[in-house]
Amino acid sequence: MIGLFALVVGLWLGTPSAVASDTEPATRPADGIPRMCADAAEATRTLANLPFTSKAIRERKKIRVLAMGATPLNERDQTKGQYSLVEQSLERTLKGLEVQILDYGVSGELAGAGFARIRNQVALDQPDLLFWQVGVADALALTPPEDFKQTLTETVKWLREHDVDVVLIGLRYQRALRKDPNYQKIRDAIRDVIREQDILRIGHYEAIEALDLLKRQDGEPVTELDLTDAGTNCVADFLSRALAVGLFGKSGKGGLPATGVPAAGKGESPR
Amino acid sequence: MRQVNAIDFWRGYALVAIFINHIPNNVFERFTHKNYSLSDSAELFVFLAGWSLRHIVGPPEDPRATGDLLTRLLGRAFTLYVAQMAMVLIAIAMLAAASIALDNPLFLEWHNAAAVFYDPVRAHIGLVTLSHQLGYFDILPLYVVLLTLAPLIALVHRWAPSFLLPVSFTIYLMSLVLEITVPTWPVAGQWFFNPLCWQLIFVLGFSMSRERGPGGFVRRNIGWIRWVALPLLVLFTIKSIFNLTWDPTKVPEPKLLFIVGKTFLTPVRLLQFLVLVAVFSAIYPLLERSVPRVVSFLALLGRNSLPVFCIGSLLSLAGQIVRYASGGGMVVDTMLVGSGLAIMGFVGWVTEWRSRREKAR
Repeated sequence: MIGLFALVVGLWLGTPSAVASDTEPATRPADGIPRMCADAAEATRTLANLPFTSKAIRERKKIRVLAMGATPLNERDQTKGQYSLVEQSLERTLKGLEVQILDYGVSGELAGAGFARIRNQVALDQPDLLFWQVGVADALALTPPEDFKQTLTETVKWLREHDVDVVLIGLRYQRALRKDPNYQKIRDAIRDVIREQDILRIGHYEAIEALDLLKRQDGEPVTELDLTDAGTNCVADFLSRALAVGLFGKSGKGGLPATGVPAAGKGESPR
Repeated sequence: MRQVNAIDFWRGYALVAIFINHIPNNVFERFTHKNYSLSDSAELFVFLAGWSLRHIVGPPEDPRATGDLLTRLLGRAFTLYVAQMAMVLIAIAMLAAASIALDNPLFLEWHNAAAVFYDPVRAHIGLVTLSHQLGYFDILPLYVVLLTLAPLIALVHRWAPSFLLPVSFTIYLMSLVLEITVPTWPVAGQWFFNPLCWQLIFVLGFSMSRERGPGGFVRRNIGWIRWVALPLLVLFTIKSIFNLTWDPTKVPEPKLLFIVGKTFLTPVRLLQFLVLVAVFSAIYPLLERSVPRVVSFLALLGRNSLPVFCIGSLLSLAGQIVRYASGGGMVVDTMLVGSGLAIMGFVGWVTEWRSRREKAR
């Protein structure tokens, strides 16, 4: 129990944005994660269990993650991409844990085609967890939202039946798309599936929307491109944070604090 | 100009199907054969590309000189490479223009374009070396690789014809068993069309085109082959329509031998394609008699496959952008597909018109 507690504390403290404070510079050179990710992450709280991943950590000290869907490059480390940051972040903070992320992302792939590939990749690679960045291609291709939702639901159920956890990385926030009806319907469909299936989501859209609002409240000029960059750069941070919550956080409404204090530090028993 | 023939017709059909399928969710997409089949037009396109190799290699009784053969094949591969580069450059500009015109930066990340805009230094190296490919623009790189290997294929066929298919099949099998892929860079991933697997269908196309060897065997026995193929095709079609599929996690190792996948052109998919070809090759004479204008139009496209493919690919992308901007629907889709086919036909016609003019000089 003490070991697990230490793991949680370590993970949480090691999760890059967890240690951000108002006095820090915009970008901390130690890990290169912009502080704005921590600000934006306030809006990304979702809680759900990751039972198969937790089990893999307990039994094997190794997790295998499959990454599907679009994989935008990370501005700060363009040779490796966003998932390598998650891999590094988890391995750095959970000593002895081996994280293997297999990136089979195909940008522009619709959810239906993605499901077919996911089935095959699960058979071939036997992952414990799936990161799926889904929805943008379907929104641009005008996939009927009800068809999209059905595909997403079937995929999540199929994954659960095959002992694979899933983290959905939702739609990107773009100012121009706030009133795009199809884009918003696809966003709603993702939220519905997450709620109905009780799965972990990276609230990408809400996070960057919150960041946009924060910056504008502060009177800082933020271009659409800045927001796109922020969205790309913060995904790794959001993923690390979400995994910390999903693996060790307690299900409930409070979530993890935005800065500094790990959930376990408040006396909650980590699983 | 060649006479209208079955190969050009089917190649034209493949080009039209690729054009339609590459505008996802359009109403005409549901009518292409991929909805009733495990394989799609990509298999047909590569198979017929292999078949076309016969025109360059020459007939067995009058083979082309080896030096000339190599020059022509490598020259053709280079032409395809240049076409790919031009096409991708235009596609990138189209995505950039769409993002500006529609005020939507997501277009800059669509179809794997993100690296081009956000990591241009590495991405341009990747584009030129074919290690970075845009979505829906990834079959021509396969074709370039296959044509670059074509001199080897032609020479093995010339000097040791009985070795060609076994060698090709061994490479295919090893790729499946060992799960060998060709990686992409700078974006981590793999080639959507694994050349180590897709080379088999190219070689099969070439072998089937020959009057001797496996091609001769198939020609002599096509009657009973079709009778065997027909019930298999019916079963595969039922499987596709009703989405009856086995659980890929439950199949034995090596799993790629038993699952259905496009990247590795898995055996089930390949078998379905071969039975499809065996059965549907019988209907061409009927089509030629009953719908001669359609056959003639598709053969025109097939005779000029490279320019038609390039323009078709760009029109597909334009179609996706227009669909998004307009909201899609029956009228928009009909206009897109109708005008796209007309432009593809015009490009085919202009190509032949220019060729005729040059010959007349």
